Amino acid sequence: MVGRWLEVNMEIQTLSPLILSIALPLGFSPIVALFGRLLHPRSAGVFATSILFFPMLFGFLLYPAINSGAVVEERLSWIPELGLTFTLRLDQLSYPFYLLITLVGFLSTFYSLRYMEHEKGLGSYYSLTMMFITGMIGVVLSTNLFLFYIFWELMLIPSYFLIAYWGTGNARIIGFKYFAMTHVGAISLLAGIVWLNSLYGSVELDVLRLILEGGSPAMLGIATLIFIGAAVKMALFPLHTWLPDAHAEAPTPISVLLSGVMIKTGVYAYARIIGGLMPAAFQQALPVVLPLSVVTVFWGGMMALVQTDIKRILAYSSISQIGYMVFGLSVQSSIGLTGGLLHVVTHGLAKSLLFMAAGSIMHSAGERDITKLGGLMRPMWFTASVFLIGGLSIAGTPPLAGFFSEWMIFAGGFQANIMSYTILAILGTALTLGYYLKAFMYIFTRGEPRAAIKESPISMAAPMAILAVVIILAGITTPPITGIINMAVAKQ
Amino acid sequence: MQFLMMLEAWLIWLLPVSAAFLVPGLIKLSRRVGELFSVAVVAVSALLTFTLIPRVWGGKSLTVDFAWISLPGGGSVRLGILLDPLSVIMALIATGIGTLIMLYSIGYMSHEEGVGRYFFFMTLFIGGMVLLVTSSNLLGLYIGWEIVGVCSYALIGYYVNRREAREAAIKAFVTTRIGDVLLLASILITFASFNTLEFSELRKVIEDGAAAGHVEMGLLLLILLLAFGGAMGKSAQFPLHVWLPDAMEGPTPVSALIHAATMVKAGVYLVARYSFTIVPFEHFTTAQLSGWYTVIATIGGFTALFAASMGLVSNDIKRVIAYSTISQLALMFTALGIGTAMGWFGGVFHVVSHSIFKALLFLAAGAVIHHLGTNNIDAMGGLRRTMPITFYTSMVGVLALSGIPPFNGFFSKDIILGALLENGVWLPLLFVASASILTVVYSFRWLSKVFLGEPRHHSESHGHAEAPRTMTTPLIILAALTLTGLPPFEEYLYHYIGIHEEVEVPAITYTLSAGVVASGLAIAYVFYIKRLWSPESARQGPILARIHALLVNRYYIDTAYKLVFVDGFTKLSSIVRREVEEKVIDGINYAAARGFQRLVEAIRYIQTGSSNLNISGVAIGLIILLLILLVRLSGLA
Repeated sequence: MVGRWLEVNMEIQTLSPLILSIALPLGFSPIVALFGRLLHPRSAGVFATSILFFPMLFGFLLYPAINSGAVVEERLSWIPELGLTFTLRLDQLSYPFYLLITLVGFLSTFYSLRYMEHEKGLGSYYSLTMMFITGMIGVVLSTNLFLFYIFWELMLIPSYFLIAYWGTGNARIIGFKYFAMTHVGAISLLAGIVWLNSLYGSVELDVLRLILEGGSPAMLGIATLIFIGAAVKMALFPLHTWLPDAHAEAPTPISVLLSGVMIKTGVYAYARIIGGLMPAAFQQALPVVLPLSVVTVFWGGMMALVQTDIKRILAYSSISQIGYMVFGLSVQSSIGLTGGLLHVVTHGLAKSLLFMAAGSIMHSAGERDITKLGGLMRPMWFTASVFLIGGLSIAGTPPLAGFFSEWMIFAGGFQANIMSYTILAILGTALTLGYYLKAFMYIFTRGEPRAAIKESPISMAAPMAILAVVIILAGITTPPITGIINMAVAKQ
Repeated sequence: MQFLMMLEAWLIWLLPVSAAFLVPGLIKLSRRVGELFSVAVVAVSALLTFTLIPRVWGGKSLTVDFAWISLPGGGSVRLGILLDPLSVIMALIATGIGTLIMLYSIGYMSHEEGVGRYFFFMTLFIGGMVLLVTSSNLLGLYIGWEIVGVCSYALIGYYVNRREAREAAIKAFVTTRIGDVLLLASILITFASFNTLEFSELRKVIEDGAAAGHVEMGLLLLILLLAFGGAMGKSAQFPLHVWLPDAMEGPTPVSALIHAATMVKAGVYLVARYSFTIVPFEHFTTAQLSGWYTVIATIGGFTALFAASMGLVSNDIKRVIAYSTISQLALMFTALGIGTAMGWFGGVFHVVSHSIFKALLFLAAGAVIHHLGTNNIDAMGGLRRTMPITFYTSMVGVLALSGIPPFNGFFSKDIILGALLENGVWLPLLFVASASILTVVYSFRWLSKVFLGEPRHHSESHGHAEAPRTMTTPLIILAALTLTGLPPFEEYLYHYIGIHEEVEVPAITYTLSAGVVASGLAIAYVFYIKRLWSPESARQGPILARIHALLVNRYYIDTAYKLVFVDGFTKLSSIVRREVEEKVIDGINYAAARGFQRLVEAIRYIQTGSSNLNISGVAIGLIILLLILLVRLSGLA
């Protein structure tokens, strides 16, 4: 069995899956837009979904190679004059992110088919979604910071249009706020990259890693600039205010991508560039980063407690959870780092599930204010179950996936001997539980049962079912992905 | 392949946990099949547990496990089963009593809709509890601990249309979660300090470390106290007891399951496990860990009296028994907190006794509620004639709870009192003795109000109103089981656990027990049996009226918690949102945006489109550039 897997795996590598997983969605995105215009709008969605299936498939097929410790790398010569090569690399650190992006990307696009069916301009919608996903894939596969930055922007621009044109509420203003704020972050990131390049004449991660091993006087400045770039993307307190607006008002499948996946690229940047290249600066920054992460946990949690808009609750919850990831990554202990990276995946799955459930509630009940909802337990028992599974997982309740990443984060905290912060962080899980249970009560159990409301259609329920099953199984079978993350942690 | 050899050990929790997921589907197909299936699964699990008894008889223990989660640096967390007398007896309670409660549920829930959810969570609940008590390490224990928490949340809130039920469910889950935070902290500090979570390894590491001086007693004490914090949440000890009386909003068999077979026993189990396996008496003297033991005994003793006092005034048939549970659990903690083998044996013995008589009392209460449709004991009475089986079995339960021989409560309580006397733990002893007097009083008050006197209700059926057989059979079995405290059984339990010390109850204990029971009975006789003096007239006095109000309002603790932790925290969050999030943080963003806009407004006049201005601008710029260049070049030269 394993032999056969490896064989398939060798074959798949001759296909250059990494280049394909960027080229396919990017190359086909104009065609998808054309499809939407010329043929039936729905065909654009079907086409986009089938294209996005492939990067996910590659992710699954590459699992044995990555799990055996191999690194998949593909190279094209790009601008030889500048010494830039187009190199994509999937290693143990980027693999969890890659898998999360492609899996959630595929599922949320599939979910869009039904959820977005009455919207206008679907061709462009799917086309932009594909570019957005390509940008995220590119960010985690890049091996030089120049390419990294290009993909970072490729991720921002389509998502701005998606929010501004298909969003709800004051979409144009919110889209603009999103664009402006994250762009300030991107500029800070760019400044850091340029500074690095001017000092060392290279933007290749491998080269920089060797150079920076000796330490550098300007490192703290560079690290700060890059950290601000990553922190804005992650929405770390106090740079978080773009997130609740954007995540709540984006069309739901895009909220899934934003909250489930996109903010994790900030975590990736933090882990890859700051954690990987500048461990010394990383250590110096801890007295600031650690308290910030704990404040973020509570800030997001408290705000989530007093929101009444279902998507805003989820958005603030994402802020709070980002606090946990940053905490895990920052505690300077290998188990904490493993936990932080694992939490990227477990939170990504659960938050995607929760946004889909929120979309399903809005789709069926036509209402998003939890004080006006209620009585949906009977008619929407499926959505209720998956909502509870997602919420409990994020609140760190075993045997769901979220618990396994959270206990490792906390164990790391104790191992690094930062007792008080860690106990506070654990206490945060009680707050998380509080606001999820409150939301669950308001949406589902309170009030008279509303029999007239119908459960959402199969094509929306299927992605939710898949995510819920993965969350339950990932709790029981943590080893597969944890092993890969452990290897990544060992290399850091 | 060791895994397969001990398959039955795995199955006792794996079977209910996995079968639970089939139950809703089966119930959808055929309700009867689904219900019987879930009862059968728990029964099989109970039988399997029973067959494990010979393997652990006399204190033998064995572990089966496998590597589960790999950790960075090559270590791993294991998933395993620890079989020893303690885990097997706890599993037997969960599955054995659980089976009876499940059987009873079929009758009790017969008029309810949506029982798929009910039987799913009941089965999962039992499976989770077995996982908790049989896990060979702290992580597995914590997983079971939380499964139990989730199931209790879902079952307490089973009647989703009732506001009290919904709120009680959240209250239970979040309050116990506060305890869980402490337990998780304890577990993870343990892991960070000793690098293992296995019970057996922990004992060795701590022992060697303490001998060599690596392990600080302060750290060990912190770990143990945090763990006890977790136990306080799950087992509803003061000040985390508030969730338990409200948990009565669930269906009655759920209350029975929570109180008798699962959940609240988890905390007692945890403390018993620590003092049995991790820091056993043989290796750590009570004096070394006196801080820990004193806290347990004192909190336990205090809670015993505190909860019993509230049981005196409640008018809800289930809440009286709920307060009694808090009080009896506290008794078990007090026993464990003595820190001797005899105290430990008394505590565990009382877990067994309490499971039996408390399940009996709850199920009897359920039969009454099922018949009358009310929980108010002031609207009951006279059921002695119409519900004879329920009455006589309840009577047995009350006698056992009050500690009257020959029922099991007497024997286990006797050992606890004996151990307290022998070790001179005076303050807890005082608490426990007074609590035991109150126990007799509230038990007989309950019995009298529900079954004796004239009917104060308007029930249509004046003749025979006994519950269906699926409900009375468990009652009869449980009533018979209350005789298991008698000497041969006590001996068996003693040899089964394999304690090395002699357990001898000093003669003076009997005097104390008799005194306690006699004074309790005397008060009950005056107020409730003969009603020579009515409690209503007694509380006319200003002091007693005030005490009564204090007790009825549960010492205002629930009100205070809600005010501070629920409303207060929400209010704080709202204020922070309004004043900081929206005004300051968002405000800075908007101020930056406005400032930028103003800057742009100011400089946009440059771009007027007037060519004269533009060209002169370009010219000025060019001149400045040339000047800079000149200066640089001259500088170089």
